Amino acid sequence: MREPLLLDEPWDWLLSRSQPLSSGKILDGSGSPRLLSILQGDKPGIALPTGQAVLPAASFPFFISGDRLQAFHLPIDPRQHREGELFLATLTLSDLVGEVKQADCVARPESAKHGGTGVGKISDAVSAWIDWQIWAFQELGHLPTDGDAFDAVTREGCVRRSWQAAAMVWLQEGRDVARMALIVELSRQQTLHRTLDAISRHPRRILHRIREEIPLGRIQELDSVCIRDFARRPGMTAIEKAGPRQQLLAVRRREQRDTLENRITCWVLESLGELARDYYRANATFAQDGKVRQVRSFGRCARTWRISELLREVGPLQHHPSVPNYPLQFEPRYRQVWKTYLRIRREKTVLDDAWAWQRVLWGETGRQLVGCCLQRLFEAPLASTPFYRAECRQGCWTEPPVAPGPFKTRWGECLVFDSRDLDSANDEARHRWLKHPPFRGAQHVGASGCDQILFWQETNRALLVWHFYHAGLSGSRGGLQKILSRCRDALEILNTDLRRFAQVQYRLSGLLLVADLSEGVTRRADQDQPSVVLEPGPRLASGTSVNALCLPPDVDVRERFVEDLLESVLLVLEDLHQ
Amino acid sequence: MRTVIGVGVDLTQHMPLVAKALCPDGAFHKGRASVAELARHWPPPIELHNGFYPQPPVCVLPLLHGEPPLVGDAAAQHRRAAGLPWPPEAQVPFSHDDQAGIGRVPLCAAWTALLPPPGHEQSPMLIRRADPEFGWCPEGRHLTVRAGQMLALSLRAFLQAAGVVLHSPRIAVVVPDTLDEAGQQIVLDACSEVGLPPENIHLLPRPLAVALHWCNSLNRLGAGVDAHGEEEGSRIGRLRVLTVSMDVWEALSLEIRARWYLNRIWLFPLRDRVALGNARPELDVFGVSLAAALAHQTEVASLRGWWPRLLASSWLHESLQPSSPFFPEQVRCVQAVLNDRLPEPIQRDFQKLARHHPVWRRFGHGGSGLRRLPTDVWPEQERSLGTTGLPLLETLADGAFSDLLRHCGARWLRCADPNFQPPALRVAAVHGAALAAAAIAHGLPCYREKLLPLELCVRGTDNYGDPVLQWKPLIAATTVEAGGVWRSPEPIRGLKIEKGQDRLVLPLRRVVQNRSSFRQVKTELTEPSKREEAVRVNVEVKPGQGFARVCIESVTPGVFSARLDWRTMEECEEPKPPPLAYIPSVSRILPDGEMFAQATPLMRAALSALEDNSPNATECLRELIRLLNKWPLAFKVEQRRGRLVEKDFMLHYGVIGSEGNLDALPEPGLARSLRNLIGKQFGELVEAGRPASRLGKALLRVGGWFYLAMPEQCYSYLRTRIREAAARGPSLRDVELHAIGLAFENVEDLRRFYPLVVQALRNSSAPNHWLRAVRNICRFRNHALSPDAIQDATVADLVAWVYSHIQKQIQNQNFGRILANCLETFPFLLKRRRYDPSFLLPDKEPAAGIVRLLQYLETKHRWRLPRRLQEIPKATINFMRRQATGSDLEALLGLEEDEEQEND
Repeated sequence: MREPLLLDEPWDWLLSRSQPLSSGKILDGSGSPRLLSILQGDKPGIALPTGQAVLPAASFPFFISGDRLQAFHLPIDPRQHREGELFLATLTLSDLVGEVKQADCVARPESAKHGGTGVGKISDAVSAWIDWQIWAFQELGHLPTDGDAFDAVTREGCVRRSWQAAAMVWLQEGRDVARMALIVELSRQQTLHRTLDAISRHPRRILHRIREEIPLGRIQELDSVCIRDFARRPGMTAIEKAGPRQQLLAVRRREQRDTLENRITCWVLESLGELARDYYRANATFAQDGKVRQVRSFGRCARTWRISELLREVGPLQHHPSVPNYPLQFEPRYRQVWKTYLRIRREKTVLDDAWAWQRVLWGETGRQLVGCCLQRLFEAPLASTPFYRAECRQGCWTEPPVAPGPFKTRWGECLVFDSRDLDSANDEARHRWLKHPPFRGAQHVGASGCDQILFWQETNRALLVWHFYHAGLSGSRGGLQKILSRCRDALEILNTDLRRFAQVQYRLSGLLLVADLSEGVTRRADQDQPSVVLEPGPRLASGTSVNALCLPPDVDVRERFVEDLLESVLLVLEDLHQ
Repeated sequence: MRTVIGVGVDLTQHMPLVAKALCPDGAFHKGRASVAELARHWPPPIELHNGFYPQPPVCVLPLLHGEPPLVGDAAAQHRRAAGLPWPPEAQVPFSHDDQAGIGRVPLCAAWTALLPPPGHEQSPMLIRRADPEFGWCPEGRHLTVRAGQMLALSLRAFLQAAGVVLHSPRIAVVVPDTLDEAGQQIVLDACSEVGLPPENIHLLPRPLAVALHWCNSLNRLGAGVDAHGEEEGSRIGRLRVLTVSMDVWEALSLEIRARWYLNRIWLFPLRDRVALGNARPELDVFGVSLAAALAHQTEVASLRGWWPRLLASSWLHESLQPSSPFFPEQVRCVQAVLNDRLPEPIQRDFQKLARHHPVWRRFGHGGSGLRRLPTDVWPEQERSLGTTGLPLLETLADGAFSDLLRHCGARWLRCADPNFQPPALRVAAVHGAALAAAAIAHGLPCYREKLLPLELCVRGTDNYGDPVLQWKPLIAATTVEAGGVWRSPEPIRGLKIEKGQDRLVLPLRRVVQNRSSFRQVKTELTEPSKREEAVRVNVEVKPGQGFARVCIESVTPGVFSARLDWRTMEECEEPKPPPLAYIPSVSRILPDGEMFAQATPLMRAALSALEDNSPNATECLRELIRLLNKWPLAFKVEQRRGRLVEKDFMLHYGVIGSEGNLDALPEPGLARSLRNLIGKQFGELVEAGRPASRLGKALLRVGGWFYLAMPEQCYSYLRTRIREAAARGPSLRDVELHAIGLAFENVEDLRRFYPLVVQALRNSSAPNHWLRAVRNICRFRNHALSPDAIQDATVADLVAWVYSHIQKQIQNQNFGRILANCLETFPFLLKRRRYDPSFLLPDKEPAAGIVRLLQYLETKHRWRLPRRLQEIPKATINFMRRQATGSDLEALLGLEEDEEQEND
């Protein structure tokens, strides 16, 4: 196999439903399509509107007819207001160039600045869901003042935390206050208030030199151009050369406020207003919350400052500079503005990245949820410490090692194998996985596309976990059931392959951790329904089953989220060990 | 809650131990512990913190760049490199890849890495060592942590976990006894880096901590001991201590002293590493090796099997519980390890681990040191310390494996002390540390330690005023109370910084058990010195607490002041003395007992003959002269007698000393009688006008061999002769010149004599006796060429005529005695440079001409000279050029005097 393959679903290769890249197949953008290619030095790259990116690996590598294969995540269109459009992205792999097409991607809602109120319910839900994930990772990515012995910062912009700390963040429920956000933090900075207010009343200005016809009596300065013009004019004396209007070309100085620093200030003001509006819209249910009121007031101020008399003539920012000019570096007011500008830009970059790599982001979140659940349900004899990045990179907020454990469970020692733990320089860990598989048959399991494996060595049982992104379950349970059914078929084939190629028989079951973005399975929070829905799937020949655990996009406002999640996970594990 | 007055920490055992000494009830007044009350209620109650994970303390190395290492309980409970099957982070080694290494370092390995390297333990040498690094390479990232850093971070973590306020009470840290100054300094520097104030930390050697616990036990304090109030205390006995920890096992015999202080008797140990010498306490048994062998017994025979049990679980703690039964195979295993038979698989595992850090190689063998305890180790130490005669108070064993010894190894200890019973308490060291911390903090007697001596090389002058390298004691080998600071009583002088110099290099020497080691350290100046500046050195040192603090400052106040940077210390050769421009100091003849004994019968015979006015008197005297004129080099005599002494070309043996001190002779009465009789008879001959008779000559010659003790009559006669010679011309007889050469010292006499020499050299074609006389005067008399004794013009003439004689002899191809005497005499004349550095400048005449002539002689006619003189021209050239060394000195002074010349 030399040409990359397109997979609509992670397990499509096992079901022989993969298509070559050149087939022009249109992938389901609302699901979790992947690209399958040979594991080699060059990784597939993709051209996105935000720039070039290398595709992040998904699942474990696996062997097929002597080749080492590896699946990769595909991005989603991060641009706003693209509903109904086909998302085309150019893919490069060594010398090969192809086009990946995705349909039915969730469209990113238009920002409030343009008067848009979003493109629909799913977009808003996805937006809130992304916000929640980013918030949680950012919470964990900053060192608390009263941390435990494990908390530490590394030089790579990573923070070491404990799983206890992670569980405190992820397993929150029944949130009744608005979430912390950058705009809240900025709105609390009184120095920023004063700075922006001061600039709106006394913006920095420069004296700009222009040449124009000026009456003789008012001329103060002539430059070389003016003198040349003067020489060319007919007449002998200045009065003769001034002509009937008695004007000559001369230099005049005029005050100007349309400078880079003021343009950046205006951009900051506009962005603050926009962020404030978005925040208010996202937290409309907590209108009485102090943070919401503060942000709303700050947003109003920002808009007022922007339209103030002296800043009105300042034009829009044509490009985003990365290097500050002199005033932005050294003028105290503008230095504050530059700092705010960078923070907002970073926030926007984070959001762009999160929208583009939603599937990876969900994988990260899913891993955190699984890890926290295991931590709560079982005892880990030895502690592990996840590393959180201060900034995301292609949806990744964590650094390997990602998986917790091993855990002492009532069914024996449970090892957690995570495909992200194989992320390493030069794919050494992936090659090692294939060369020295940690358990028999591990080199074949990657064909299923699973992201994690919970493995009980003593009882030869394993639970394969997929962090399954799907924004189009469309309210009908039939859709999810069909997915589960296909997954079951794939597991049956995998079982056969393991028996055939690795001479080992495991009792496998599957778990799809689904972000039910369309809330097709989960219901609204205000209804008296479980927050987390365990969708039982079809059973395998071995008696185990493939289940789906559907999480609503607004998990942290659900009252019984944690309880439901833990119960559901336990049920799945008990089902495996029956 | 009671106030903590001292804290002890022991991270060398199978689990972290922190003990707090609490202020006794009633000893707390006005917010602080009263010393008098504390002494009354001593020892204070000790509280052992028991909230730590019962595992060997470890440090977990970082996984990402910049990640701080995990220490304390956080490290104990972390999965990294714990030997789990998954993930790679938890595997041993990482990803089961031997190249990647292991990210879990037991602190016993860190302690061992700080010890002096193998082969250097025997003497506490000054060896600068970098803080050794432990590293691993997960996913290609090379990550390291320094051993000192691990220990300091661990100390801080465990102390904080035990609720200790780091800046308040004194903290005594138990360290291996073998930890030398460099290792101590590494630990203290690392403590400072992590925010543990080094002035609050006291490093306490483990055996000493155990002894302190014993000394301060309630039932022993002052039990029937006679003590006085002096700080040094009185010797009451010796204590044998065996510490069996996770790192190296140590056995040390300590002297116990008693002292009366604050109305009670205090027992305290004395630590003397200097006297201990080669009787080092390390037993070559490492607790970690034994523990690995134990852990390996019932598990898969591989690193992956024993590593997690030993270093990531409480298995060892549970196994070492007194109540835990030992299986027969475990007992056999222990005995095998103690018999130097570490199981093969463990040896292989340690060899593999040694790829990551060489310290594992040290663990990779068993040791039979324990068996040597009763027969070799302790007795040898006691012999070295001089405590063999003191009563043995008790034999103690403490540490992680002390209970294990009860089962497996106690018989060795019982051989040493039949009453020995391994104590059930395994935490004596940390208890002792807490007591030490409290005692030091409150100025109560704790223990005393002898400082390791250290000498600094300075340029000084010897007794004769010649420049010489001198070793001045920087640190005196004296005993100091624990925690106390020893300061040099007065600054060391004799050092200076030259103009333009921007650093000062100080050569150091430590002599332990007659073994010298040399190091040099540097101190940088902020800017080059603008002028030559004398400096002085002040020292303060806390025994057993790292390097001394050496402050160097200019004698002129405020010019500069700097601290010696021990990190610049490096090995060096023994500093060479400065090149010589002249023959320094003077030759001395010491009276030798054997030679005197040989001469005694002849002296008696001569005395008798003179008393009896026997006609044989002359013959007797001539017989005596044949012995008196021998003055061989002392070291050669000693070599012949089978003794090895340092080569000293200035020291000779003779029948009578060159200082003429007759009282130093074995029979001063005999010598004095002979001298007096010689004087009397010679005086009579002079009065009779027959001083030049055979007897008169013999008497004068023997009188000359009495050196400065020559009879007064001879002196008077010779002075008269000099005056006559000055008036009538130099017509002194050979024997007279002989006596003048040996016995003249007085400046007045010399001032009269030298012009005669010049005249004689000018006129005479037989200058041999004149030259010999000058040579002997310069050789034996210190200020023979001082401006008081000889004027510039005279010495210049002297040189010119010697030069002239040499030229003449070479031109005449005469390489006989005259040339030999000129060559032998000339170098001694260079001693004038002591008073006049510009004397005979090598690049000016006549020095340049002399050098050319000697070079000619050296290259063209060297082989025509007598063998004993062949090296002289080259040596003289070097002296002329101010580049002479010890070998040149040897070439000139190593010559035995030509006997023929002495016999006439």
